[in-house]
Amino acid sequence: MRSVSPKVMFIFLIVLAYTLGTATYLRAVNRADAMRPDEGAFKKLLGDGRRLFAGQFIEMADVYFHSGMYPSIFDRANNAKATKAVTSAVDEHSDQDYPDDHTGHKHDENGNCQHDEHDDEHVKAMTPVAENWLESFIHRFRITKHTHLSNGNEREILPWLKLAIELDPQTIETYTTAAYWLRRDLKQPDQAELVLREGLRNNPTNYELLFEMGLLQKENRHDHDRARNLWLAALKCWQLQSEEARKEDGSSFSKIASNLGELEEEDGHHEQAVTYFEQAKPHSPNPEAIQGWIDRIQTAAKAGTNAVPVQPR
Amino acid sequence: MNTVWALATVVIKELYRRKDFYVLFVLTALVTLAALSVNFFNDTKIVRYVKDICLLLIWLSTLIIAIVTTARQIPAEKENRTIFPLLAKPVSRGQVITGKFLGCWLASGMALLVFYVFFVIVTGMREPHLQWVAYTKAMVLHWMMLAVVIALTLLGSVIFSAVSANATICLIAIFGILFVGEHLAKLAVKQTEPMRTLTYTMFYCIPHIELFDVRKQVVNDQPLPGVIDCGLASLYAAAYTGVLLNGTWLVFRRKSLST
Repeated sequence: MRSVSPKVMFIFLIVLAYTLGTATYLRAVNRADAMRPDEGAFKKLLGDGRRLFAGQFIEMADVYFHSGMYPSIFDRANNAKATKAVTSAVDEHSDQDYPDDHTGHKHDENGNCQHDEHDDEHVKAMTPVAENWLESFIHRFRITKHTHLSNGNEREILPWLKLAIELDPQTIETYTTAAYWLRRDLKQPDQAELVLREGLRNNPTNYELLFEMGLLQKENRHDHDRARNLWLAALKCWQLQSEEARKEDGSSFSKIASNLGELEEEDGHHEQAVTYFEQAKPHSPNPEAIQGWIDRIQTAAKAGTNAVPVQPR
Repeated sequence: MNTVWALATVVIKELYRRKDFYVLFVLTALVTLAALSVNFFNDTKIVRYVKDICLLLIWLSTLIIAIVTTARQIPAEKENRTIFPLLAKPVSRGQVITGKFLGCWLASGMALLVFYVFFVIVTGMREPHLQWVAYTKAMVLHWMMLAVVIALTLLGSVIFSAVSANATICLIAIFGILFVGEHLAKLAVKQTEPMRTLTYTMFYCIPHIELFDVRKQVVNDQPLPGVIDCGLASLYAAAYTGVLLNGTWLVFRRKSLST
């Protein structure tokens, strides 16, 4: 057997050590990546500081939604009360049993505002007021007509929502807003589902995301079984919260239970429907409407019909 | 007029010999194309964010080009001592100022045209119908705004000794006007005297270049001001440019040219 030169042996060992080291490291990195979701470029670049910018991007989405007509920080400072109705709009809709819009206020099918404050508070807060000749001249070069995106143009807000999600994966409102527009007006339920799944990956026990996913299954996929399971999971997650958090967010429970009741009613399970509506009633900001549902279901059940009662929203 | 034109052509030649414009254009193009290539929810019709980013970069780039090009005109002539043979010819100081202004304004206009052609091409890739009238109005208003900026920088170049100081001060002043200018009256209301009067005076005296910024309308497909309003805005810009150039001439005609 030929003897190997010590130099060759040394080089061979170095190459072997390097190869083994690299292979082991890559395997370890791959395993770690598989266990942890991708953090994205923003997390790597900005760290936790990125959350500071997320609100700006949500606001940008709102600016686009209003076709560029938006009060400046100076206008908002002058009109703090009226502006609150605009900026805290998403909180507003969470108080409703049947949310109609994720920009925070109801709109008709053409995208026009339907909520009561629209004519007064909302438009007033959004419209700049000229107080001298120079300001009125400058306003001629500004957008002064209050409009909302419609006819599929709502897609224009999506890039900003996507960026807001990247920047702050813990803001639930961003996922639900993006999913809402994708599934309802843009007819992209698959993309909406991906958004909600991403939200659930980042916030596994969030009942609002589960509720929104249930809505998608019911309204877009017409899959009542999945919708039911998701809403039951949402109720479970809601109940897992602390006593204080449950007291603060009773309207979410009411919203989920009401939708479950409606689902059971549609499936002809009258007793189960009444049970859910009874559960929803104490937490609802509008218990009379819930009682109306219960009465109608009971009347329909007594009459032996499966007709879905009409619910005033 | 021939003298003024001759001075202006030298400035225009300087713009395309220097690298500033090319660097800023390539940077704008790269960032815009990178933004365009991003896929948001598999929707290829989303375009407004690209228009927004592209127009923002165009505004930044043209402001930098206009300020930097103008700020170094007279100091460079003084530093290289070319101002002496220039004024030894039958060229008045007023003609130097007018020629420099015209050259910088035309050079900025040419740069602006290239930027807007790029903007139209990028927008055309996603938007089925282009709004030619709106884009033309936006570009003309933008160009008129640059006239005020160039005149202001030219005035700065005869007041401040260093190019960097002038460029920095002009940039700060212009960004200040763009961000706060139209809100000064609202701020004045909250002030106590004498700050209130001071803020109101500032509001009425500064050139409101922010009114030429119609990016929001272009991005959101909203109607732009009419031809009469655009004409009034152009007159407004021309008046401020005239005042600033006159001020520059008044300072420059008595200024010692030795560095």
